[in-house]
Amino acid sequence: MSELLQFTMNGLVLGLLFAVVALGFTLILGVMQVINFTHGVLFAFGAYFAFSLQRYIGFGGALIVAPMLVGVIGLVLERLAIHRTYGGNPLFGLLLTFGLSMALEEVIRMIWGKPGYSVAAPKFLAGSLDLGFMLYSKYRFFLAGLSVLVILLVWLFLEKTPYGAIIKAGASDSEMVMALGKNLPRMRTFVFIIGAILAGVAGVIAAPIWSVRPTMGTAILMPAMVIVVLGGIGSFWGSILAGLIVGLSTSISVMFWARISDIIPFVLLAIILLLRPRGLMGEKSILEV
Amino acid sequence: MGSSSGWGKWIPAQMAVVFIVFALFPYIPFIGRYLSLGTEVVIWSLFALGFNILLGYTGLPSFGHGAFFGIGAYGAGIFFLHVYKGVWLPLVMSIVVAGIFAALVGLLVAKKKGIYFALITIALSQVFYFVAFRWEELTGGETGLSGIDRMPIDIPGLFSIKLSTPIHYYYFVLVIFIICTILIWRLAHSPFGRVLQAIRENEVRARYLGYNTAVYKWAAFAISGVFSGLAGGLYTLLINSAFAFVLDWTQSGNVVMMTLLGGGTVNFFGPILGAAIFIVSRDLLSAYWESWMLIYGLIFVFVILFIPSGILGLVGGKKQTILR
Amino acid sequence: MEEKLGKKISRRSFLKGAAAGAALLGPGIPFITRRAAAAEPLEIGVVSPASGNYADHGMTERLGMQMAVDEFKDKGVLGRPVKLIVEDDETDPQVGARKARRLIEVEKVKYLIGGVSSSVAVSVGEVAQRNGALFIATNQNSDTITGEKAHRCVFRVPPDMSMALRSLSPYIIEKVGKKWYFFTHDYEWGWSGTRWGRKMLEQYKGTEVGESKIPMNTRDFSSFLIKARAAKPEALVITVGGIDRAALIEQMYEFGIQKEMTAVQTLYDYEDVWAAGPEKNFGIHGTEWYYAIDTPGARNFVAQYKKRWPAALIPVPTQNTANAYIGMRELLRGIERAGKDDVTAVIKALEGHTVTDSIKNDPIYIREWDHQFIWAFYIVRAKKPGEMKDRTDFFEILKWVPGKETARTKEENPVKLEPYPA
Repeated sequence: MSELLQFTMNGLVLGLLFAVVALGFTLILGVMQVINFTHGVLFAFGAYFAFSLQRYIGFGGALIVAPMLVGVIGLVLERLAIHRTYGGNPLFGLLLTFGLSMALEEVIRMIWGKPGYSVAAPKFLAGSLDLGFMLYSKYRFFLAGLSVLVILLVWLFLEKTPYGAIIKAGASDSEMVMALGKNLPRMRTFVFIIGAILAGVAGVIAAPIWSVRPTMGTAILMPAMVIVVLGGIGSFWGSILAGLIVGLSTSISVMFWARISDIIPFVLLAIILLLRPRGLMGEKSILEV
Repeated sequence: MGSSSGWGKWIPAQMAVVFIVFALFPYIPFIGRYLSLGTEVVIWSLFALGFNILLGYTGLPSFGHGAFFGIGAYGAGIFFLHVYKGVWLPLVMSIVVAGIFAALVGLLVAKKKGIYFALITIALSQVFYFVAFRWEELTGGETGLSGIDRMPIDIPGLFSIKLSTPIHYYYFVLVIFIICTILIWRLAHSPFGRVLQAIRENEVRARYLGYNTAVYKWAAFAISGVFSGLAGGLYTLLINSAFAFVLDWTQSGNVVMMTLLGGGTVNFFGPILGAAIFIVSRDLLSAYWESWMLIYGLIFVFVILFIPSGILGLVGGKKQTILR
Repeated sequence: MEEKLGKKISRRSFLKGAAAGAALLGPGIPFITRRAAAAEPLEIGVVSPASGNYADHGMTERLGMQMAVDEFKDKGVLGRPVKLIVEDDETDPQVGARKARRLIEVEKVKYLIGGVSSSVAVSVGEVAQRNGALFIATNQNSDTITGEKAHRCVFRVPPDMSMALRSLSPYIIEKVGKKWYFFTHDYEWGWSGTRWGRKMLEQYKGTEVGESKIPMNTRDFSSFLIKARAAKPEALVITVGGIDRAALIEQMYEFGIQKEMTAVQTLYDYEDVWAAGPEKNFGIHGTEWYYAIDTPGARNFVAQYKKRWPAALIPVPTQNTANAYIGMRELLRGIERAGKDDVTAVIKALEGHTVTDSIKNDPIYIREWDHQFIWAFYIVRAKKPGEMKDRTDFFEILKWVPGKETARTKEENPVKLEPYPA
């Protein structure tokens, strides 16, 4: 029983991490209709920045600064290249970000070299917490808590701030937004930066348990895509829900047959596509919190 | 379209030039001996041409066709190793198996388009990738299958062609390529092909005109899947092995890229040019520079930003949308 | 429409033909220039990862290869200068095979060396065998390379899993415990490690309390660790490699697993322990080579490394460096002994040869019937951060076991090599 509980915890923690990444991905997809392949490498940049910054400003400092740096990279990418593909054939955005992700992965190798690195979690988070009925990693509680915090912040922003409302509006009706005199290109850049920051944060908090390697981004990019389609493109709650489902199903399937645990999310996806093509909470209009 | 009667209808002048260039390749001094690369170019040209039925003609951005290439590759390989060691039957298997899967997947995606279509094809093709990777017993997993020989073609009483000789296999693949290219050309210029283009231009209108667009899209998907599978089977015989990596989404990305690069969205022959340039330059790049992936990625970026209609799009002049 | 097209055809088809011709001519250009310039260097094709999951391992092995080539700088081999042509296999067997074909078809190379991933080695080995070229596999440990997929044209330098587990197991049984839990990377290499581990457990009357098959590309090990913990083993016997191992180490530390059981990596790579760092270094492990081996040969090798590569990212040679060095050196010596640039002659010169100046504690015997290099395997203990003399001093060598005591017998490995290439 305790085992099942721990597996569930694993799934939730993993799911929350996935949800943070998927959230950034779905924002970009919903608002700009761009399939952002660079999301994986931005995640990796978060981890690498954390590694480099850690010895100077500690893990806590890296947690704040590294995502900001990733946001800067996002800004540069969007302004230099990605914004040119808006409104056109979605294939172009996809291929562009695909090419960028390959180039950037190589840049990581060129800057930090090929060996892997380790990021140390703060000392007070090392080891397990004895809850009586189960022994669980302290760091994972922290990871879960931080993910929830980040998700909450995004929700607050979208729901409660004027600019967030504009983003919601711009997603479903860009012409209206322009008519109101709001700057649409600036908003899109902003959304991309947010997405990059989210990927970066996820990279920082995943680094201590996943280890830092140039190819680490590929491990979350595919799940992110599955989650976004499963949850419904552009849907905030869809991403959260689907993220949790994917995390839980992956974790629990390990109990029974580890080999197929990777495939479970895709099977779920296929089922959803047959029964409810828009995804669990998808809507025809784009960003619906 | 070529002249409307006689040979021109079947093999227009550009196509003949392509065939001649390919046929002469082995005799070009020095590079002519890099036969395995040449054969790869022909195989990928076939893959890209078939894929372009879906991308260029129907306007559906499938990012998962690497899966059908891989399914064809494994279909041929598994059949060879466990059922019958031949030449034709494994290739037929690659067509049949890939076709069946493409038809099935097509059912799931036929009603979609745009980014949704792209996303779903990525996700679904990944299923196949994982299955190939994980189903060790059938596919050899990460190590893949090996020991797939090229058997000789025996026509009893007449002759026997040893396909294991690289140059013989090159011409064998070329002959298949020629036949398929002609078939695809005819298909593209048939009423069916015209409906596909109509769907690409304005699907709603096509529907109002009475066409069941979902069926046409499904057919385009399945047919392109069949050619992908055949290319996969030919590839397996070329490298005498089958690997799971072939199903990875980067392969799907590669075929989209080469189709676009050459100008597949504006010209029938674009995919062939794209395949040639892509395969050759990738080979050159990684041989001469350790950080080749940087250049590779930047080339993608460059093409998308500055020559989105591909090379033949540049050459053709004004922006064309109707594929000839 | 048709008339306009008639005029355009010739321009388009010409351009198309020209472009295609230029594209196809591409690979020829460097080849042409190379032929024009050179005398007669002896070319060795290196197929090694510079990208993909094993890029770091590829880097360390190439350093070793270069050191071996340097030793022949003055005299050359058969009087010819040695030239390395390096290709990136991207940790992808398909790419590796393509690069091998390129080296053979275009560069006319007869000798290939390298590969870190087992699957790349299998595919390159197949290409070599089909084309009558020689391949020295430098860093793969899967049993099949000198087993089911063994070839006349392939030699393998590092120990296989039987050598690893047969060396390691008795020590673990005696000093750590008899209750084992297996972490098996769910592919051929992982299975072979666990298979030999099981055999040893049976032989020494130990108990298997459980096994988890870890799929490739697993990032999250928490569920597996929870299961292992519940079974209460004394030793967690891990045959998991690559990036997955890196994540596993992080998570073992995260869950504090090392406090409850001893982690035993059946084949630990220095690159991985270097990446993990002193805090996350724990357990008793098997490894192919370690820089602190106390023989003149090893010490000399380490000194040479430091002199040659003062700016290397990893300041000491790793087992990859050592294996690749030996592989290249023996290949070149083999060519020298054969007296001619002929693959069959070199194969015969290698088969049955004994290398006395090994950089391990025992000499190397290049076995003729399966082409396995027979030499020692090491058992090491992870040092606590306080015990480390300097930042590279991760291990203490506990024991070494000679290769000839642990390698597979002919009964265990009924391999049949093909006839010599014509």
